[in-house]
Amino acid sequence: MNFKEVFKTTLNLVIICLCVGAMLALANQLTAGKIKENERKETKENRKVLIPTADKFVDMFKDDKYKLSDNSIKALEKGNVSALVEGLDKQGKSVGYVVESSKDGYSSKIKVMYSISPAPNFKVMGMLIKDSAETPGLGENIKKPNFKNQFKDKPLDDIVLGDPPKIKALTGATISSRAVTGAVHDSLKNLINTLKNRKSENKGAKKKTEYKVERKTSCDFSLFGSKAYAKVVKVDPELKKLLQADKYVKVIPGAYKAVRKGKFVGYVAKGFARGYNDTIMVGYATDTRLRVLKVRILRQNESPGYREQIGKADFLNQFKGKTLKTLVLKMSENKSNKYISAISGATVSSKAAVMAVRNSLKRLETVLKK
Amino acid sequence: MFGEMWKTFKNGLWEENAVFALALGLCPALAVTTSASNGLGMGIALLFVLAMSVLILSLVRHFIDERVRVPFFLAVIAGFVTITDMTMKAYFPPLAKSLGLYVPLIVVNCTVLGRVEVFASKTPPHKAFADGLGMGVGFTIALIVLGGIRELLGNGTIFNMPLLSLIPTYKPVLMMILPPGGFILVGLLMGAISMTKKAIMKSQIAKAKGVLRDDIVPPPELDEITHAELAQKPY
Repeated sequence: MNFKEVFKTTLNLVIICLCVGAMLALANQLTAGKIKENERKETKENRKVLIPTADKFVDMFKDDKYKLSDNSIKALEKGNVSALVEGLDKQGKSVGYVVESSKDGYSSKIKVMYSISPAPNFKVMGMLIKDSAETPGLGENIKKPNFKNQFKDKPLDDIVLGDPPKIKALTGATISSRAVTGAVHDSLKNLINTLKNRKSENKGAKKKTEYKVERKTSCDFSLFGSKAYAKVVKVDPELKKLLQADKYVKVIPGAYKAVRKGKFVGYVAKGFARGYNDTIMVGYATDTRLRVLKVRILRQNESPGYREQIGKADFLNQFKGKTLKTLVLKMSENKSNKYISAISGATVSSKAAVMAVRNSLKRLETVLKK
Repeated sequence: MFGEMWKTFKNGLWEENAVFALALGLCPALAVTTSASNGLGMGIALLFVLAMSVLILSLVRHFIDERVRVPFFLAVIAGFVTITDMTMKAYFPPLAKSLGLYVPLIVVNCTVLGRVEVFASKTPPHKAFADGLGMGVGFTIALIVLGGIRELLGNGTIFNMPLLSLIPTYKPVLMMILPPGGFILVGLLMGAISMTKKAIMKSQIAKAKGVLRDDIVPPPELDEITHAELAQKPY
């Protein structure tokens, strides 16, 4: 390439880049104001929708006159409150707050915006999803009114997943529903604490009202001690089916050593975990080194169609050969056989099935090690 | 001149439809078509970018140095894409939100680059513009069809209006909205379209030969007109 050619190609690109750059600058000039205005308008409209009675909104994070103390802003930001606005009516009386918060959902960060009534009730007045990119048709349904409107007039204690008057999760989208509920719950809890403290500070009251919230996790996978069940069943015939043996020796309640013709062949045990609707009971058999051989769902009361599928062979066969280390639920993106992948639309039930085996196996292992 | 332009325009609609015949730009075509309105928005965005890019690039085709043509094309395409993106954000914010990343990704959409490379850089502007419009409209129609069917089956609505979901016993086929549904549908439609094309070709040959028998098999060279061949044809 001689000098002339280099010059020509360079000139070529320089000219086009200048032209395109100029064009973009012009387009930006024309649209930038509008884009910003749209965003502002959207926030404004959302606020108005959330608190229709308010005449004016003041930003409690940025507005110099109404700003909270730096410490409480920091505490709130840590407590999952990303923006806080107070709504005032014509007389300047507080009619509520608009709060923004977020939490990781199934495939995106879900940003929510909600309004609460002023002290002392702090009831949620309305909620909307500002931004989310969940699975269309499943998770994205959190934007639909039948889910959103459940938050109306709920006090903090009711903003957990559960049966009405609590928030009912969407079928097949429990993770997304839980993220929304969690975002509101966490931020509201912190906010109430801060606002109550502030009130007492302002009044100079001696008593500081401590607002304590009993935390209710809707689906916790805590150990469901099998002791309660162990008394009822000796060796469940269902368990016997998993691993044929002539003799079963009790190790701990609900777990038995299987002995066939005087030879130790493995363990059979039961595990429990809280599923979506009810406790799930699983039975499983392991070999002598605690590797899972077979898993069966012995009792469940999950919703038909979606969650009942945990009883199907496709799902249960994944447990084969797993040890305590690899008995982990992975989201469906992970296609490797090393871990167990959840049934889409039934993540909670799948998780419960895995946890049931896991919990029981863990207990068995600790006992055996001793 | 207009006859020629019309012919070029029509070519993009059916014979060389970007999605169903050339299988170009499948990534946005499958990703955004969860609803008919998304398909329409994406299609129009691409239509604008494609038509403007081919027009401009065809106008300056003698000026472009052969060795730096790809960065040159990309600069122009990226410019129009950014303008589209900004305009959408300014005037159609809900649409911009639902299309998300896929509008900026038009920059590397193979429909645009392909048409610029094989067509616009070798043809006069009026024809290139007609081709860009045809390809863009073809793409838009394909996206509306895909989005419409997926939305109808997967959600029971079309352009957000309830249709199948009015039937109380109807249960939406969720899979149609999820990625596998998109793949299955685009495959079925491609198959159906190429079958129709073959049938049309057969009947045309039969007509030309003056016979009306449907067991005439079209000669292989008539079976497929690839866009590489088209590019080689002198216009």
